[in-house]
Amino acid sequence: MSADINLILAIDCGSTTTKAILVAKRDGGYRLVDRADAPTTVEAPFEDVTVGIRAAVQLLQDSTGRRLLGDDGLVVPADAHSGVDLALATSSAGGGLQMMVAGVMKDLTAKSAQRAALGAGAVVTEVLAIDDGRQVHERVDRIRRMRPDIILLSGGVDGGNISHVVRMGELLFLAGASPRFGDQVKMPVVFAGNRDARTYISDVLGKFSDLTAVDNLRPSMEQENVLPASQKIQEIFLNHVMAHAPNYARLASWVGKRVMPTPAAVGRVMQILAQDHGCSVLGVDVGGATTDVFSVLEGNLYRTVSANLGMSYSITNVLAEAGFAAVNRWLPFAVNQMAFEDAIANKMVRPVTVPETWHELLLEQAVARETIRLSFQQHCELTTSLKGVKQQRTMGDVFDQTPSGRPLVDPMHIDMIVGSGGVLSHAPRREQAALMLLDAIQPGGITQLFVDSIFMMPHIGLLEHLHPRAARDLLYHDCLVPLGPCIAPAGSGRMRPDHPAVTAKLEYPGRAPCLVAAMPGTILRVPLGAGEKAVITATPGPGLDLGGGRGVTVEAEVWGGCVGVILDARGRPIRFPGQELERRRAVWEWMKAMGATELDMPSEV
Amino acid sequence: MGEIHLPGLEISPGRNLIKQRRLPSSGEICVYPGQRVQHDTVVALLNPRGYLETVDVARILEIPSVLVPDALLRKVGDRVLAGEVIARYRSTLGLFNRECRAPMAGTLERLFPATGRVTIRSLPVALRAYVPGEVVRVIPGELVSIRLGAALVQGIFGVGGEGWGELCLVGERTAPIRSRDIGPQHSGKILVGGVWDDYEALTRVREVGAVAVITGGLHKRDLDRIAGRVIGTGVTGHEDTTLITVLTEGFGAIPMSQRTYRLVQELDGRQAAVSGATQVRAGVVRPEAVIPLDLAQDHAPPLPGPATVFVGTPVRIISPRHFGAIGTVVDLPLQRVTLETGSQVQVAAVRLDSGELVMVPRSNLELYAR
Repeated sequence: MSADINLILAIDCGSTTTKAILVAKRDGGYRLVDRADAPTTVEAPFEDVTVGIRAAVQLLQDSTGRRLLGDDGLVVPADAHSGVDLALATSSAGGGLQMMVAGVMKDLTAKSAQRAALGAGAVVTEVLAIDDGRQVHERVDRIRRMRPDIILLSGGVDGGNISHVVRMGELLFLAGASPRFGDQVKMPVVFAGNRDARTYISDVLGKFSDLTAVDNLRPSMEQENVLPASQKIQEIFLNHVMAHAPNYARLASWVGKRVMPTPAAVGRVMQILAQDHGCSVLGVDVGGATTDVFSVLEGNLYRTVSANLGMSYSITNVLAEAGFAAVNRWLPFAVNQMAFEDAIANKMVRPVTVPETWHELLLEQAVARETIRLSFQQHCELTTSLKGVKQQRTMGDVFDQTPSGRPLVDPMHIDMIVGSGGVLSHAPRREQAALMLLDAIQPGGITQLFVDSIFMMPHIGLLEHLHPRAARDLLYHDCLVPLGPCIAPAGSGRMRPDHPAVTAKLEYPGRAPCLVAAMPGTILRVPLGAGEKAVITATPGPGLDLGGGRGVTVEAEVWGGCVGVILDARGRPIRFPGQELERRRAVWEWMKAMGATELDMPSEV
Repeated sequence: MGEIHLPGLEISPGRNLIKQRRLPSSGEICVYPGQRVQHDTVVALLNPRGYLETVDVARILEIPSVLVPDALLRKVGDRVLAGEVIARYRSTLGLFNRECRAPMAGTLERLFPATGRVTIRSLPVALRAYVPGEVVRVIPGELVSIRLGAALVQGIFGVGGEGWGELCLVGERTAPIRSRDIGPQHSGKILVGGVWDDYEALTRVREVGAVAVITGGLHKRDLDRIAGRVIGTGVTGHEDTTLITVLTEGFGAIPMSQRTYRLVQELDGRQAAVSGATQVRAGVVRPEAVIPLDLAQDHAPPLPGPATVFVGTPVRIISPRHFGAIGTVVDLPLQRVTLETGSQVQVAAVRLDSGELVMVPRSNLELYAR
């Protein structure tokens, strides 16, 4: 199939915006031709996802002059003047794929079930477990009210006790849960628990639900096997859930059933990057309603979704959770707190509005920093090693109290950070995206930064399944924008004001080396363009750490980007001057140093 | 030249309306098709038999079961509230003082003297009609549809549950409302209009027992105070507040749009149902005021048509720079325009009613029916 594909139309239906891109084969490779956005239309008065898609594709049609829309859908396949050879779609609109997961123990099988659902691209709306501390009637009430798209039931290791997981099955039966879409449809339930319990679960749930059994996602305490459950969830999403969402059946027919949950597609891109570069990757996708954080560590993909942290529908919640002071610290000017709260709340009720002024933009970017920071914090808390694993300890381990369930993500050891989502991809200057990522995640050591050019990752993630070559062409030529490497020492409490926090030697092929030093509290940028490489030898200041230990020099080969090499000597965590005017001035100077603004310093600063 | 699809809230002077009353989970329907209902008619019961919860009073108070009947502060058959102290034990010298609280609201149904336990049965939750009209459809255990003729004002955000009362204008559209403007005559009424920049006035509204306030906008922090919590996610309706609040335009002390104000002005003094429940995400729910009217059966329902904007369509600007300004689209250029922020976006050229021509990002417009 791949050889005959010359034109590809890929659509992503987000909670706020529907994005369409047109890709063409040119000079032996696949390149982006154009893109167009339109508001998503799954809600009243439209209640039809295809209205927004038609609007976005219409814009593409207008700009390219190629007829893409027919009387009833997309023109597929292509001829000389119209149509495309392949159409595909990803979706997180209408709340995305909403799932409830149930397990026996909340820290063991319920946690594994949560990971399986998240890996499949779901928003987990409820986690039930025998030990969740709730009364039976409270659980029944929750199940009845949630109306998820799919329930994932897990529990027990293979060959172990079956009574607890069957009890959870009975609870689902008692609640008589009905799915979100389609009143006459049976509730899809995936059972991924103790295989010996399958018959019992089938007896309890078989008639009431659309039950499917897959391999146990926790076959033993030492093993987690989430892939079969994740794949089954995606299959059900396509065949059942999409068929009942507002006119998704029509969309599925337009794209020949090539539809995937957006987060699953973005997760796939993170895996490609980790695989291609042999490194750890942290990805952040800031959406309107939710923020997804992905990490690929030692080849394993971990995903968390912060369901109430986002830049439009959930923006007020970001302010409520972070607090005004936390958001305000990123602003280089004074704001009236009440007016600020009103402006943020207005963004929530009118989510598609875009900032028109410099002040509005900086307010939004300040909230974005806190959105990413809080989501990343949640990701670190949830991404842990398996709990319940038996550990054999020797005398040598007496002082090593590393418990099972320890955090896996370490900001000092992230090789690559990729930002995606409207607020990062559509930041007027790439330097602003880089600064948002640095401020929010505060990586230490040496980290390469990237941003999704126009929020294409969902399209590429799905395309990778259908046409891997086209997906990689697009990813590396049109999607992934290299921002540059960041070198940041940790240990802000030990910084000496009279001593550089970091000194670095950059060696370029065919050019004289360059020596730079960044003083504490400052940011320094050294040009290193996209496509260029350099070897960096960086030494942290006394007592500071670049990932190799306190005061230890580290060396790495880095790739350039549109921001260049960033020496971030603000410390980890970043230290703000205590006095308000100084803080504003520092924030402004950081923006200037990064190239995030070319404006003059405001008079109030 | 292109076209764009924009959202817009419904402001209707009168149409036939079907209100669906859906139980959150399976329950019992109490009405039949063809039945006339009033605002407060109970149309369905959620959880008609209630849940039964056992409370081990003897264990909680650490006393023998034989002492439990004397320790009980409520007798069998009494209603109890969630968290209410239902039993208390004080030792002879007052050294030990223990309490047992009800885990949920309901009726104290039974005492087991042998074990010192009591059972509490939760109360069924009544779902009322909310609007007067005729029941036209029933799905057993789930849903009731009620038909009526009514004017409809949808708001952009609200708090509080449902209520009904008489519409009462409290001031001109742009007049600041002060606490002295509110008095006992507003008890049980739905107050409309004005600019509420002073929280004292809202406090006064609660004191006199008004049902609701419908206004253009309130400061976010004032709405938080009414709701009794900091509103984070855009999902409301279950607040423990006595004052239902509907904002028609947004946050900030902003007046109602002229079109909305003119409509409610005409309906001043009529009975209305009002709901503050909002869901600003999947499955959108908007707060509303429904004002029942006597309409002919064949009254054409002016449902929103294809919400598409062409050159000549009236629109309203919803971004801070020109918030609320009304105008007409005069061009939809294909080329992107660079904003002050440096972003390049698709815009619409809008001729404002004041005569000024402005270029506005297309996303910052909403439909406006003149």
